[in-house]
Amino acid sequence: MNRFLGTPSTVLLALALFCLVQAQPAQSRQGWRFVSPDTLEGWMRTDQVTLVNVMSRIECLDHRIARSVCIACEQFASSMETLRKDVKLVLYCESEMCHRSCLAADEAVKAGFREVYVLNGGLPAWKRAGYATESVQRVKRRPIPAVKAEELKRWLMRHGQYAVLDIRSREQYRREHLDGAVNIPFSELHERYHELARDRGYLVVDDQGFRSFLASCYLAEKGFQVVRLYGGMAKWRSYKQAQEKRR
Amino acid sequence: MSRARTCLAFFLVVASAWAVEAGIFRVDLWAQQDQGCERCHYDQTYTTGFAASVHARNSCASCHGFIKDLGSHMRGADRPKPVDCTTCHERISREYLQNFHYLQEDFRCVDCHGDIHTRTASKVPVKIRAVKACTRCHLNEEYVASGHAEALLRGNMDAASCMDCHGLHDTRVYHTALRTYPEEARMFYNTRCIACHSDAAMMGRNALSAKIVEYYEETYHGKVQDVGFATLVAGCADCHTTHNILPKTDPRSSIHPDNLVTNCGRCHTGFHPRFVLYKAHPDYRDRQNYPALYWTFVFMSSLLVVTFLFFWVHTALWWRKSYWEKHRREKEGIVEEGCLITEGGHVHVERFSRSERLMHLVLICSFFTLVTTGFPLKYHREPWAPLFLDFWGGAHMAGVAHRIAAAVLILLFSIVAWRSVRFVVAPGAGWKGWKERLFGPDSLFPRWKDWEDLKGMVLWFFDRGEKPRFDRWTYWEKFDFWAVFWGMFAIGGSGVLLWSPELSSYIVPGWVLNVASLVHSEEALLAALFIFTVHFFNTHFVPDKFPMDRLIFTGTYSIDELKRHRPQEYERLASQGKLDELKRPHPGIPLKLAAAVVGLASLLFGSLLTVLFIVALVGR
Repeated sequence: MNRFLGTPSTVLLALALFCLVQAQPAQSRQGWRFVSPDTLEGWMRTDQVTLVNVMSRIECLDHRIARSVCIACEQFASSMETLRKDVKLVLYCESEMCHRSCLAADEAVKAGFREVYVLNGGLPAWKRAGYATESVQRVKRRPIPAVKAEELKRWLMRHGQYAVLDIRSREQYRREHLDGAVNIPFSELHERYHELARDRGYLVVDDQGFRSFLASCYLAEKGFQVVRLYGGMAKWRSYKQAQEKRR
Repeated sequence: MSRARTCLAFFLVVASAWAVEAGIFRVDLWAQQDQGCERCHYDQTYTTGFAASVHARNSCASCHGFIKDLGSHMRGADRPKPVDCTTCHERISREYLQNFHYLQEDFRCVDCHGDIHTRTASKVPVKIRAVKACTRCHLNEEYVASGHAEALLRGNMDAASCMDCHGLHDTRVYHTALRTYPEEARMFYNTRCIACHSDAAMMGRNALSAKIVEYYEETYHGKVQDVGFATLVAGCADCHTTHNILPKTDPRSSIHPDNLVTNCGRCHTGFHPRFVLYKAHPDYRDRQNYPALYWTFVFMSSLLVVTFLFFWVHTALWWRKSYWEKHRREKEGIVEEGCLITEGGHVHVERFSRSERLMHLVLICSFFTLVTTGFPLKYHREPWAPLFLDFWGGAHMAGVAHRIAAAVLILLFSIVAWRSVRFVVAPGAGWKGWKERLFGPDSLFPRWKDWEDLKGMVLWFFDRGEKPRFDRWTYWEKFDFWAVFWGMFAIGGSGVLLWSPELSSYIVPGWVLNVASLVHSEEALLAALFIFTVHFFNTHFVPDKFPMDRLIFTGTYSIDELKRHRPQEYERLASQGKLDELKRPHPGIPLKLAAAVVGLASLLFGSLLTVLFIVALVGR
């Protein structure tokens, strides 16, 4: 044994083990992994996979990867018992900058799902790779004017009949929101849009400007007059910071 | 009329369904083309509207294929597959896979192009249609008020429309609002601006200079951007803004003189208002508009040409003479002096002290750091430029390393300057005898003998005399010393100004930084090429020392070598009885080996850099 430990083969073995460990897919500390669109597509052809779209119901029905289940991130913890734990669970959301699929993945790992994956790059990465999506209830796209952060104050003063509708989660809204904004999370908009007064327009605000367009199209379809904040609260925040820096 | 049409349609549908059901006819729509579609789909859109559309030459089945059984289709069971525009518009669809509107908002062809059944060819130019389509959502009032839009709406199709900068079907996923993909976005948009503004024909038509891009690329901003580190410096849109692009005479323009402090202040802080006098697109060949830059360029270029003309000719003649001489001796069977074992062959004397050798070693490290961090910017278009910067960890880290190496060089320069003063005003003796020391044989100060030695060398080159008998310092060694000494004022002074341009603006106006950049760059070329060619040859590559002289690392050489290379010094030391004081033990194998490794590595690397610089210089 001692002789074996002293040979160069030990070094080679250690090197091989090191390479093997390095070659493993990146796994987060939370216990889930990222999966690429190509790998996912391969799994969908051969393995049993549960695909969960963690965006709002409106977004999920608008377009999604075929055979996806729609469970919004906000409702994931309470709805995941309907999902099978013995197959791969893959979660995705609307952009590579979206953390909702990661939050849902954390919940899934806590609940005992063993093979939890997050689609790397989200739905855009899937589309960029050239794979198709399906639409169950497509929202008609229409021109929705976008107001820039630097124009916002002036625009709101000029258009007094507009109220600010914040479609982010309650937590995000609680942390920071525009003056006078009302909050209806996107995941609840299909159930609660009728709470909005029809005699006024709405400036729709989201987190990063990716979701407000579809929310606005949806509301426009329901007969509301809408505009949206370009770049969402992220852009507003960076604009405010730049303003303060300049002062 | 309408009711009659409805009745007819109903009759046709029922009759067709009956006929199909009864097996009277089966239709393969792929084969039958459009025969029969309009009997049910008789809306004006699909009949007269479609016939007048740009797609009229296509059949219904071209897009709505795969209906095999008409009866089944009429019953609603056999539905056509979703229309796939990519079948015909393959290139566009490929581009569209990268489109932000598709990836993020899932826009489909129909969302922008509307109902294709009635789509007719538009007489409105595509650039104007793009502006109209984009501004339905993107309320870019700045663009509408910009010079580009104004020219475009006047009918100038050279002017940039939304699609020229953002692409038409390949609008990238560069979410500028969120500053995602900053590197790619900056590079992409710079490329878009450059594509038009370096087009000589287009700029000529619009009374603009196509050289403006070239001038920008010769500035620090342009070089760093071009070498691949676009986010570290100002790209086109940083100064000219993204949409509000107006001529600098317009008070609303970001580059109007009144707005420059604010404009520059978006990236730079803590500068004097005259900082904005920096020229972002200077042409140093333009004597009228940039006289200071022009004359600096003329002076620096002349300095380079004169210096290299003299020393490269000197080097070539020296090499010729030495090489020929060596072979003449070989032919005539004369043994080289160095090959004879004499009394002084194993006795070593000191030429360089330990501190001098250490300083030279540090100088080598500092010099190579400066060269490998600075020249990638000077020759930013060369393929090796990004490799060098990547080695240093990017342009920012290369800048840090450059400044550290510069600080080391300034420290060395200060030590040498202090030692020079102490040499003249010697400790203990004070000013007494300063003239003898300054003009004496141990001084690096030029004296009449250097001129005589130069003349003697030239005569020797042409076989008209014996090789001069040198004392401690030769004229080329003195030139090496003084060139570096005076060069430090040029390269060091300009470098200090460029170290922190904002702080420098409290001392000098912005345009001096342009001059400093030019001086720094040209002086660096002069220094690097001089060291790598002239100094390397004179000290190492000259045939009787080739491939290298380890003296600067070991510090000692044999008395025989002293006699051969510095005969006058040897005689002087011998007559003064000072030789014994200078005798040192043999440097030993480890030091000689280390000297060979460091020395040869430096020589090889320097020679490689010389080739790269000359290729870059010639290719400019």
